[in-house]
Amino acid sequence: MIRKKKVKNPRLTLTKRNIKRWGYAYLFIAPTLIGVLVLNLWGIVQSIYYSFHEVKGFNDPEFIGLENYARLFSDGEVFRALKNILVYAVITVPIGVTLSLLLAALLNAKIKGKGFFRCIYFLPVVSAPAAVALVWKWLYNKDFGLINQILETFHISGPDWLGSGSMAMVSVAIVGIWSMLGYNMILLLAGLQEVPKELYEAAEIDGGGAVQKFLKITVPLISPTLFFVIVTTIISALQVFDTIFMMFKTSSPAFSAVESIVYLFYRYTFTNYNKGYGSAIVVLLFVIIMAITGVQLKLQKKWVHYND
Amino acid sequence: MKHKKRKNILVYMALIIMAFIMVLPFIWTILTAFKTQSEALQIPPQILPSSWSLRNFKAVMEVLPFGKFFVNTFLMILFRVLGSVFFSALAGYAFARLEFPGKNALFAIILLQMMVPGQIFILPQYMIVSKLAWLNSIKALVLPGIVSTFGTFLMRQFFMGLPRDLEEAAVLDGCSIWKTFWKIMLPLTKPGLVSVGIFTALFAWKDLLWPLIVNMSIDKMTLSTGLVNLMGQYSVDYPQLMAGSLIAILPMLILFLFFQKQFVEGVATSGTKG
Amino acid sequence: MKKYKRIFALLLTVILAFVLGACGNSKNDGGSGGKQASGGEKVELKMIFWDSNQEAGLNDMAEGFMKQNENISVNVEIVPWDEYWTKIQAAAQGGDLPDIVVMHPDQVETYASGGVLMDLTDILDGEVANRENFPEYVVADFRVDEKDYGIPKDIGTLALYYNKDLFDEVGAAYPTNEWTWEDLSAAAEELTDEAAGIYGLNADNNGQNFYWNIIWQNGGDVLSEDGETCTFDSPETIEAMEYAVSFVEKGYSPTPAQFANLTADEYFESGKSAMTFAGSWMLTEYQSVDELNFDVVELPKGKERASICSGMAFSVSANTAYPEEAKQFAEYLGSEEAQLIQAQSGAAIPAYSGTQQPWIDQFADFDAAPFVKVEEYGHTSPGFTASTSEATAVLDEYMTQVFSLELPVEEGMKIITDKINETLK
Repeated sequence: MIRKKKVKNPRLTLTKRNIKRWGYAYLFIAPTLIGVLVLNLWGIVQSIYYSFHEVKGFNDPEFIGLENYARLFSDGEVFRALKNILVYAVITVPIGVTLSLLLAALLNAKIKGKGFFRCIYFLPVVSAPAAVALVWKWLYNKDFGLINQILETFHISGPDWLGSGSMAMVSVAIVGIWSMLGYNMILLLAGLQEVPKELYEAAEIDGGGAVQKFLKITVPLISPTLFFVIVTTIISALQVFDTIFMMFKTSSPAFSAVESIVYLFYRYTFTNYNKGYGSAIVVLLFVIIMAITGVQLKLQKKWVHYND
Repeated sequence: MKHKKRKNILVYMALIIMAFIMVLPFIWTILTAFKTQSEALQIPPQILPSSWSLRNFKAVMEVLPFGKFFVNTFLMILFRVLGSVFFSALAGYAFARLEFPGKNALFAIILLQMMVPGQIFILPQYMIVSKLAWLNSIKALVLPGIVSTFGTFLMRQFFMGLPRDLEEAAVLDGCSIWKTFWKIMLPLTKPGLVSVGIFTALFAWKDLLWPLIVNMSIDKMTLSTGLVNLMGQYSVDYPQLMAGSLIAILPMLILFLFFQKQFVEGVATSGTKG
Repeated sequence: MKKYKRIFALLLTVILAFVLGACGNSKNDGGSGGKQASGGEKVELKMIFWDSNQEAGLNDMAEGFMKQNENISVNVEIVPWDEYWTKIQAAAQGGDLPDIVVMHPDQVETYASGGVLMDLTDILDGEVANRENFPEYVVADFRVDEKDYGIPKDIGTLALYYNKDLFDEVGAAYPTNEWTWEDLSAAAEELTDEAAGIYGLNADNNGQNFYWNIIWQNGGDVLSEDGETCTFDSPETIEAMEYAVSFVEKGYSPTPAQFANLTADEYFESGKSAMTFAGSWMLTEYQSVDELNFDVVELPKGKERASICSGMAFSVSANTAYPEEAKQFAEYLGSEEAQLIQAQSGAAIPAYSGTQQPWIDQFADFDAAPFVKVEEYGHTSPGFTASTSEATAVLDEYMTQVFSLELPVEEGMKIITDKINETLK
């Protein structure tokens, strides 16, 4: 076994040539970095700052140390919201990503009407958010909605999509998957374009079936894009808000089963004017997402194939 | 052969069923756009409108300055897309293929933005726009989206998926970093660029809260926010809202129709790989 | 070829945008008229509100003011309710709050104590918009720390709406202004038809639109006089709540789960509920439903008459660039003339006493007077403001269970009281 000696990366040593190279790199990332620092970092820093203060209404922040966090960890509402987004993520991410992957693969192959199907699957992505919520509310109506009506024709008694605590999150999840399917599909389709056709042909000659081709060639080669899709889908699942906001009232019996962390944050920050506690909630979410994303970044070495 | 045909039929069936589910809400939107308010509110719901008149579409176009909405939305999208696509490609390439101190830390900072809910940026960004005296303008609409962390991340993934031999060949040929980037690597990521463009356009188009907060007069509104004006505090004119949202979708659909043919079929992958 | 396709798509979109622009009638340029000031500086004031249904009325009032003040132009902006307070917050912090802001009783405290609103006490002490002309409790709603921050704009009240057709079918007598609680229950029973899916009354889990009124009608209240203690567990309140929930218990009303599918308004509009407590603000919507034949009477009497009577008010930004003109405008908005204009435009009942008749007159099919009568015995919203908004969360959680019959009324009220008292500390 040849032990790998830790060699210092020649690109990172302080040479004139390297400094010139670094200059280019910094220039390339400058616009984005400056944009993020000015537009976004300030907001993040401010939230963290507020989380250690009591900030109510338009009053000045009062330092209260870890009080908000102490409250956070004993707040039943927070645990409930965490559970809710977990349920949502567990439903939407595996199903959403798998479906998008299948769709992308199918619509990349020799199928008639590819363009037509791609358009149809992309439609939900372009729909106006205001209209979407309203339309789905109608579709989900227990007695008169189209969904239950269709189920009736199959002699299935449709559930109370909007009124029952057990079904409510599923309803939101369905809308979530529906709206993101075309989106992820496009990304994966783009990734699929980078897979050279010769590889598929070679596999066919070797006698590989469709599943084989898929698992051994497609997935590894689009893994960079797939990684992106998974990471972003998880992040947006944990941040779910708009659909819930538009489909459920706070006085609905199912509300406690759908309130997400971001909804809770919104309530405290904008409705209750309690920015301090609201910020603590958002910091909690931030830490969770950071942790999960960090884990994913570490794991990517195991399955994502970059052409290094 | 039969085996293959049967598989194909199954595949088609699956695609069609899924397509139906995707389209169902739209069918409902279209049907409602032709109804009257009473018909729309009827319980049990009436499926078909009694007449296919365009009155709702006409009414909506009279009530709201759709022309201005389109122009505002178009400009907002145009500048955001130009900015984010270009800057994301630059940054994405740097993070993917250039070595420099602090690379990982800086990339992490950029990722941070994606990990927090967008609502926390509203007040700070408003303060910036307000101080710049850009309130109620296209500039205000464009600002939050001129760079894209999402785009940067995506482009990085794309660049990282390209083979190294091209770059090595370019270096041997004596190409500068910029030339390598611009002339050789970038063209290979067309699907990525188009994706970033499409998604920036989408986020811009869907953004409801921001335009409402920074812009005051209705003729500076965008399509999504303009539509919200159709919703009164207690009542919604459903048919008009549906008609409005259909009109609003059109440009995005057209753009997509042309671009999807573009990037999916137009990218040459022959000869450059393997 | 590919390049051309791309350009073509872009061009098509641009053309589409301009064509639609030509078709669309941009009549929204009104309001900030192009009047040239004859000498003197041109002042531009901005007013902001949330209900697009009232936009025309507000513009009319602005016109009235502009006629009298040629050097001032007013621009009305409408931001939907869901986003209104976010925008106002942002604007307040950024120092660009519009000059005239319509305020809500639940919100005024936060903004007033935050120093964002101007003290308008002297306007209400003046001649044009004197406080005597408005219901005393509406003025009081906008009083913070002994100062007035709002010029009353309108009053929203509740009445009993009923579906005439459903009553005819069953042969029941129409509700009258003399009805009592017993009459209401009896009618609800008579009109409920389980087989046909028709309910007698909407007993909605909604304080403003239903149960606060019932509580007051029984002499109870939600908060003590000083607003420091919750009184949900007082005997009168418990009794009232038992009455309120009885409709759900006996099957005369849809349940909260059903209301999550179809709102109370939708139940009434579709003829699935024969009666409903609803606000004066619902009139325009109910009227737009062709098949709905309805009429209106005052809410039934319990031990006493009671109904919510809450109003919005015009506030002035403390930071306005034109304090004199803004105050002038605010005063005008509270004048008899402006309030009459508001009545004529129809969407809201003006707060100025004696100006309500035009509002009543515009409704030909039924008598809208019951709404105006409420002024005499109205109660304002219990005052769950932003600082006590955690109380609202308690209600959302537990009152829903009570109406869903998962929590017995008395027990529920005790839990609610304890929890709300905790938040009030």
